[in-house]
Amino acid sequence: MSSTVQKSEIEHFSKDAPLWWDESGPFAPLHRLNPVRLDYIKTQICSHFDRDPKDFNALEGLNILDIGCGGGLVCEPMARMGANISGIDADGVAIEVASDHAKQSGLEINYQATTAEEMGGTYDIVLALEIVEHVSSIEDFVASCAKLVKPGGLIIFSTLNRTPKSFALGIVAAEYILRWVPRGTHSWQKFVKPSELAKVARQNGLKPGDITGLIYNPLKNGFTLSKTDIDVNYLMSAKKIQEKP
Amino acid sequence: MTQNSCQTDILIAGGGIAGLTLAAILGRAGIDVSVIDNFPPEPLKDTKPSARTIALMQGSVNIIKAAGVWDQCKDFSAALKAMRITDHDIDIEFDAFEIGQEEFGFNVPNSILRATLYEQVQSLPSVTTYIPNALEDYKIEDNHVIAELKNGEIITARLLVGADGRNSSVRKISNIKCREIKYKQHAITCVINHSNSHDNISTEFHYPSGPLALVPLPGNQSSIVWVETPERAEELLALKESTFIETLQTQTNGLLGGIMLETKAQSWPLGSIRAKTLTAPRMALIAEAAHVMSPITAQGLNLSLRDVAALAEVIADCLRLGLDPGTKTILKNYESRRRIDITTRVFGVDGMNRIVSNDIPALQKLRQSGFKTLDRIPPLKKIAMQHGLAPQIDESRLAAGKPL
Repeated sequence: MSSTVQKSEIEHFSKDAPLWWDESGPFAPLHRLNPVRLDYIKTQICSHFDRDPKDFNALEGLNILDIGCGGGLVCEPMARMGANISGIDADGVAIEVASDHAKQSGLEINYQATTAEEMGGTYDIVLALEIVEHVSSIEDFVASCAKLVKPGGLIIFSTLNRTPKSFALGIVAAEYILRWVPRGTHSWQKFVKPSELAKVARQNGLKPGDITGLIYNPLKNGFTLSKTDIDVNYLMSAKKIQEKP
Repeated sequence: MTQNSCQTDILIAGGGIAGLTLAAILGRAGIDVSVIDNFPPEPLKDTKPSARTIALMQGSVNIIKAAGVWDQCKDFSAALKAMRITDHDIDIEFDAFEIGQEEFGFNVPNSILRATLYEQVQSLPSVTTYIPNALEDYKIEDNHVIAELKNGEIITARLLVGADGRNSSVRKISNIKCREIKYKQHAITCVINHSNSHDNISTEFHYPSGPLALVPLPGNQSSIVWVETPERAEELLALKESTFIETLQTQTNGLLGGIMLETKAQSWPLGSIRAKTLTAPRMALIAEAAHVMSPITAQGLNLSLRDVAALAEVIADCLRLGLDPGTKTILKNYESRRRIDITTRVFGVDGMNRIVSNDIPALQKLRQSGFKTLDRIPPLKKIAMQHGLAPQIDESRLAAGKPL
C-alpha cells in the first residue's frame, strides 16, 4: 500500500521537532491536553483488559503501538505505566528527539522512523492520536492501523470533528487568535466526522465503542472530557473483532 | 549525572509534621519518596507531650488518618466539643452540634504527631530517610533535580518538595520572594495541669494586647497560647513560677481552678509570611515554607495539611497516568488548587489578628458588634464557624476521608 503520509504535513511538524518537550513551546496545547487524553486512554484500556486503574503499573505486559508518536508525549507515560511500547513517526527528527528524551528519562521505548503502512507485527493496543486529520487518505490509513491490532485488541483514535464549531475553535481560535498551534497545523476540510471514522473502522473489522468529546475550558485554561459535546475534539475507541475459528 | 548518586521520585526537604505526613501518605501508596531533615525525633515511647499543640480540624484528622497514624495520636489528644470566646462583657459559646458535628476537631501535641509520623515513615519500604542531614544546594539537569546534601551525598529526583519551614532553604535556593509582616507580639506557650475539668471546651480570652487561649488536652490538662507585647512576654517569662501562675489565674478568671505548669513556658515572635509563588521548576513549596500565620485561630497547620493533601493527590494522579510529577503542567495544577485557600487564610488571619489585638476604640466596637451579630444570627454563625473551623475545602479527597 502506498504511504498515507503527506510530505508537507511532516515538514510542518519537523521544523518544531526540537521543541516537542518544551511545555511553553509550539506544542504547549498538547502538554495541557495530555493528562486528560491519557486518563481516557488508561480508563479504556483498564476496562477492556480488566486492569485496576488505581494501579501505578496498570499496563504491565501489554504491547502498545503509538502511531504518529511525535516527541513521545504519550509513549513515555505508557512505558511508566508498565507497557511494552513502540512509537513510530514519519518525521525522523521527532523520532530522534523522542529517543534522546527517553534516554534522559531512563525509559525503554522502541522508536522507529516509519509509517503505519510499513510497520509490521500486531499489538494489544494501537493508538492513533491527533493524526487522522493529517493523513492523505483516511480509508487507507485506518486499514493499515486495523491490521496492526491483535484480534480482540483495542484501537483508540483522537481527532477533530468537521463542524462549524471546530472551524471556529480548532482553526480560527487555536491557530489565529490564541496562537496555540502554529498556523497551518490543520486544514478543516480534512477533519473527520465521528460517523465517517466509525464507518471506515467497521469496514476494517473494528467495532467502535465509546466516543467521548474533549472540551476546552477557557476559565481553567484546561481540557476536560465530555460525554455530550463531541463537536470539536473527540476520542473514539474500537475493538478488533475476533476472527471466527 | 554524578556517580554513586541515589535516585528517588519525590525528594522532600524537611521532616517536620507536614513533610512526614506527605512522605507517609505517598509511601503507603508505594510511591518512591526520600526525606531529609536535621533532627530525628525521640522514639514515641520516650516522647513527652510538647508545649506546642495543634488543633486538628475534621479534614486534617482525615489527612492524618491517610498517613496511618491517627490511632496512635488519638490517645494523646482531646476532642474539642465547643469553643468559648470571652471579650469584655461578651461571652459566646459555639457548640459543634450546631454544625452537625460531635466535635470541631482534636488538640494534639506537636511532638506526639511528629514522633508517630516518623515511626510510620521508617516502617514503609518505599520511603528512605536522610536524617540527620541537610540540603546544601540543588540544580536542575535534563529532567531531574540534582540535590546535594551536607555530607556530600547526591540525590536525583523528579520533584523536590520544600517542606523545610519558615526559613526554608529550598525557597531561598529557588529565589522565591516572600511578603513578610512582623507583629509587635510574642506568643507564650506551655502545658498546664488544672483542678477543674475543661469539659472539652476551648476558651479564648480577648485582650487589647492579644488573645489568650486555653485548649483542652486529655484529662485535666490544657495547652496555653498567650499573645502579649514582646516586652510583656519577656517580663512574664522572667517571673518566678508561682507569680507566673498567679498572673495566668487572673488572666483566665480562675476558670480552670488551681493551676500547675506541666512544661516550662516558652515564647516566640509572631508574624506572617507568604511566599510569592508556590512552585519553581521541579519544585513545590508546602506548609510554613509557603506560609506562616499567627497561631490565634489554629489555622496554620490545618492549612499546611491541606497543602499536603493537595500535593499528594496531584502527585498520585500524575503517577497513575505515567506523567512526570516535576513538569510545569503538574506543578501548575498544585498551585492553582492551593492559591485561593492560602491567600484568603493568610490575609484573613492577618486582618483578624489586627482586629482582635487593637485597642483603638472604633476597632473594639467593630469587634464587639461583630461577635454580637454573629451570636444573634444563628445561620451566619454557622457559616462563620464552618468557614473558620471545619473548612469545606474543596475537591480534596483525603480531607473528605476518601482514599488517595
